[in-house]
Amino acid sequence: MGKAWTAAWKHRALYLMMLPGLAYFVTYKYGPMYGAIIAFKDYNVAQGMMGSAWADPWYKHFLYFYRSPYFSSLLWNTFLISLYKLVWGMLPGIALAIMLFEIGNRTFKRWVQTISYLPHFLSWVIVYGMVMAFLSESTGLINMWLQEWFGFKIGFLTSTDYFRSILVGTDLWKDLGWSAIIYLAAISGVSPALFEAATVDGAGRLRKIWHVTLPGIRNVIVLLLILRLGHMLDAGFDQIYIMYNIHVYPVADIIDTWVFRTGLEQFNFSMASAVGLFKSIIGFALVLAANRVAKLWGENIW
Amino acid sequence: MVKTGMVDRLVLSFIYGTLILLSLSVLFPIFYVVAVSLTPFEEVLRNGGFIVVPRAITWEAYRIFLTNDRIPDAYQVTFIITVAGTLINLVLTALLAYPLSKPRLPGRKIFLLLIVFTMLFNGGIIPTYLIVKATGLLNTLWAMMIPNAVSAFNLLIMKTFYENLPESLDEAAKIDGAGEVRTLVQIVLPLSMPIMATIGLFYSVGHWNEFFQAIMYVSDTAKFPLQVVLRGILSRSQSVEELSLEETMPTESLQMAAVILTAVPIIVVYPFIQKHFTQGVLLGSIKG
Amino acid sequence: MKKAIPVLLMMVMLVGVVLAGCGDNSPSSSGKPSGQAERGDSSKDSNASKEPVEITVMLSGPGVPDLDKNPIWQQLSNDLNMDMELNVIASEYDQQLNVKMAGGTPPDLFNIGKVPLTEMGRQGLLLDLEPYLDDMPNVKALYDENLLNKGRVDGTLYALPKRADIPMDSLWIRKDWLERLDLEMPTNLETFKEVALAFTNEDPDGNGKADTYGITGTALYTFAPIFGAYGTGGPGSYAIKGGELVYTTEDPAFREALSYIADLIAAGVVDPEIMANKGTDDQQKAFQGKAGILFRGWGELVKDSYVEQYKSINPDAEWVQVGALEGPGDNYMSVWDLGRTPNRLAIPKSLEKSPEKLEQVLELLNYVTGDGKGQNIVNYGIEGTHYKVENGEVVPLPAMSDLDYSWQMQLTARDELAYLSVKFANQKPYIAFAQEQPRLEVYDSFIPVPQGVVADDKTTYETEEITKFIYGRRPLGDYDQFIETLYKQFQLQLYLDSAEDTLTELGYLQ
Repeated sequence: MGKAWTAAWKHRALYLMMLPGLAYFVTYKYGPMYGAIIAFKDYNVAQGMMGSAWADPWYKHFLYFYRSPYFSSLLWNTFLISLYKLVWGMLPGIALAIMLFEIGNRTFKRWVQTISYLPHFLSWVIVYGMVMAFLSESTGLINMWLQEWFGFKIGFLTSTDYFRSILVGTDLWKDLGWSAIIYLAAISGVSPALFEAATVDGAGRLRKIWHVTLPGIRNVIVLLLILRLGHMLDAGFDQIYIMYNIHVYPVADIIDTWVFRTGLEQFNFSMASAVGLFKSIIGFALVLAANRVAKLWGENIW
Repeated sequence: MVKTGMVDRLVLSFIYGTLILLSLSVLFPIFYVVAVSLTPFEEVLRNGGFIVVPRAITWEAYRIFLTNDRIPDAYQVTFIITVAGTLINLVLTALLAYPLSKPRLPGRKIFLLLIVFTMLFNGGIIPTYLIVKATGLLNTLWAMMIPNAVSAFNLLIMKTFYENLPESLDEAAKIDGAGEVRTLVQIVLPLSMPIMATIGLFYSVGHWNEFFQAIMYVSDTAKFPLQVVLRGILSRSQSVEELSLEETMPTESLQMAAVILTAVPIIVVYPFIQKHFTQGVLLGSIKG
Repeated sequence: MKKAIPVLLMMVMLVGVVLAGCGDNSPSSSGKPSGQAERGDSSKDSNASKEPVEITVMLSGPGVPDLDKNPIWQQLSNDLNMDMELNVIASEYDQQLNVKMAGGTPPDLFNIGKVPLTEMGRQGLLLDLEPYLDDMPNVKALYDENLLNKGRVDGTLYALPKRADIPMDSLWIRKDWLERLDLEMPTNLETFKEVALAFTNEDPDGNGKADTYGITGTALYTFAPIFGAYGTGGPGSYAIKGGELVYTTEDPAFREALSYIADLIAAGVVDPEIMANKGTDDQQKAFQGKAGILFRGWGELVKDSYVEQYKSINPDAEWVQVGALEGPGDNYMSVWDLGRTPNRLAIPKSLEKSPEKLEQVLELLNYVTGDGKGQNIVNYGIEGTHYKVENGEVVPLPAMSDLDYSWQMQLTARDELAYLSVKFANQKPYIAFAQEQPRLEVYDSFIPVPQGVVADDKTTYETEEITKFIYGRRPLGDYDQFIETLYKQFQLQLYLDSAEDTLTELGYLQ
């Protein structure tokens, strides 16, 4: 014990530095956490978090969710859309960052970077408006061309075949440039000496990317991957809520949209909280598991 | 050697090609947003939504947006919370990230786990509201800065960056007799411009887009930031509620103008951030 | 790792315990209505001497100008000697109301939706307004039991509904297209279908391209007049036929209507994206000349600004109303929900403890209701500036057009017809036409969601399957099976019981 204290005392300056940040986490993040108990209560606004009666049985609100005839399809849609977005959200971002790093022309680089990150600032409502302008069956540009040249139309937005691709595609389009920023910052931290050494060894571009750039940003990639895994059950509420329609519910309805509709209709905070808890637990398990796997590769986040 | 050179050139032209295609795929729709904002609304309707080159141009939509009562206040609020908020964010985040990057710090793992935990579990809207209320932030600009003062995500990124700094820096500082604080301020901080710029960008974009905390914790409409006003304009047209008879729907031109005017100030920040990415390479040379 | 978890749990628990002590100041719901809050009988005269009373009002709407640019707000504050903080919220209203209620900081007067009303009412957060009606003579005089029922939850008056509006929607058609194709105005389901076919296939806009549809609209609402012609309503409505409760989805007439609609869709005359249309997408498609038939309110088609809009796109375009179609049923235009109200107003239970504020809120509600000065202010603005009175009639002055936000200040709404004929004088014939259309009365808004069901799952399933039926993705032969699933898996019986009970209690069913 004594030893531990001595070690800690030695780093008192570091602890002191952390104090404001930790105080923040304790107050604003841990402070409200007791609220999660309403998942096990029949929350009544008038009686407050503590005063409300316990749910009977305690897993009542979890059961409610589980018993919905849509439970399995919600879970599957959420997982699938999330997985697609994970793959299509990370790999192209990394690729873009590497490509930007590879090119020498400063002006061109700067232009491409600024342009590619523009769509991040458009809201989903606007993006949906543009999707409609291109893909709408009755007024969209692409369908007008299809009709003129091939004599048929495709109901992209009302077809279960295309809808997920549209979700993933627009997500990719919107955030590609934005997600590249972080990798680019990481690449700029890789020592040029390594690149020089590789050049001396006669390595070409591709070899350098493979042997220098990628290993150089490996820890950032692993970190982001683990953190994103924690949010596997968040498949993008805003986007889907704005873009979906009844035709594509079978492939696009996710946990969050369901909770939103159900909660709105019935004002059921307890159930919303139970579903939130369910998502968090799965997310946390995924993070722990992923971190363990990452450890095997010699990377982990703590 | 010769072969490698060929491949390199091929790779390079592939990269240029891809980047040009990518830029076009972004520019084309963005161009559409701009075109719609500048086109008289009747023209927009007549074209069935899609306009490539507007036949007539009008600044009317911009005028309407900028003369809206709420706009000057909203710009001011957004500007304040972006600048002050980002400063608070960076200071607190760096002060947490730096100690946590030291493998020798006792208790480091527990702190990190506790922080990751908050990324996944939260108490929900109502208890958070009660805390914000208890700490006296309701209906102040602080309510849009303090409750999200440190992002665990950004913290981990910054920590990872610090971990990559060579230990030798630390030792050198120690030999010079510098304390932890001096090491951070005089040695580490100057080297962390790329990461500070990146994380600063993340935070400031977050503040610029501030919406949720504003509507939750601020009830005075005069203290609403830009995005809340923007959302008000955009959501009416997507709303499923029945419209009131007297309500004039914001036209699509107005919506697009509003989007442009609310996004441009933060978009122009990026080129300044980029500068630091090239400086990052300098940092690397110190390392080597 | 292993050590971390207990530490973490302890921390969570500790913080929880600490906060449980201090954070949760829920408003205690003790105390009965403290009798009639003492009313200053001479409040009008002693205005000058008294400090203005502060009240906060939260409404949902696109927004109103600030006090210094809002003559209605100024006038109300003046007349009533109050300091009103008015916040009009354009988005996420329910969420904001929830946290304010739960956080113990409710506004003194606020809009509330049907579902939150039921929940908050049952949880004892709202003031029972019944004992206070006497303090609001204008309200008492104008609100009959029928209207008050819309604000009642389990028999308690937790909210004051806005006074009802009148039916405004009807079928609209492009008259110039009819003329160009030499067609008669459709009067029954057969001619309706012929016209829709012609609008799709015979190039009604004469541009030589097959780029038009007969009908557009939003979701199943598109087909309201067709359900009407069959004597029924869209899915999920509760009607009373021959003294019996009828759930429209189960109505045999509904099934017939579906097969007619399925034919229309199979014939390709319906905009393929009706289910994806949102907001006013359908209206815009109609204005663009993509479709020639639309079911909508007159407000979205013939308001002056909209007429100008569609005429600017095509000067020949002319939208006219079509009467209810004849069909095998009772030829309704659509349904009319007797329980609907544009919005409701509630007062938090906690306001009992501030009698002065409560009194001020009641006075405000009373003032803006009825034929008096207050109602005129919120309807038309300031006399002499925004309107004048000639022969007892309100005549608008040009400045009235600045007050396009006034409807948001009309807390208890208005006498609809009188109001519309002042504000929409040009649209009078359309207003009358829509109002005169026969409608099937339904009772949906009265009926509470039964306990222990996920109401949205039922609605989703219902809409999903009906969409499949009309798009031919599921044969209509399966219909009985569909109804059976509604009962078995989605607890339809519970809804019907709830409807039966409520409607009996309200006296609509014997």
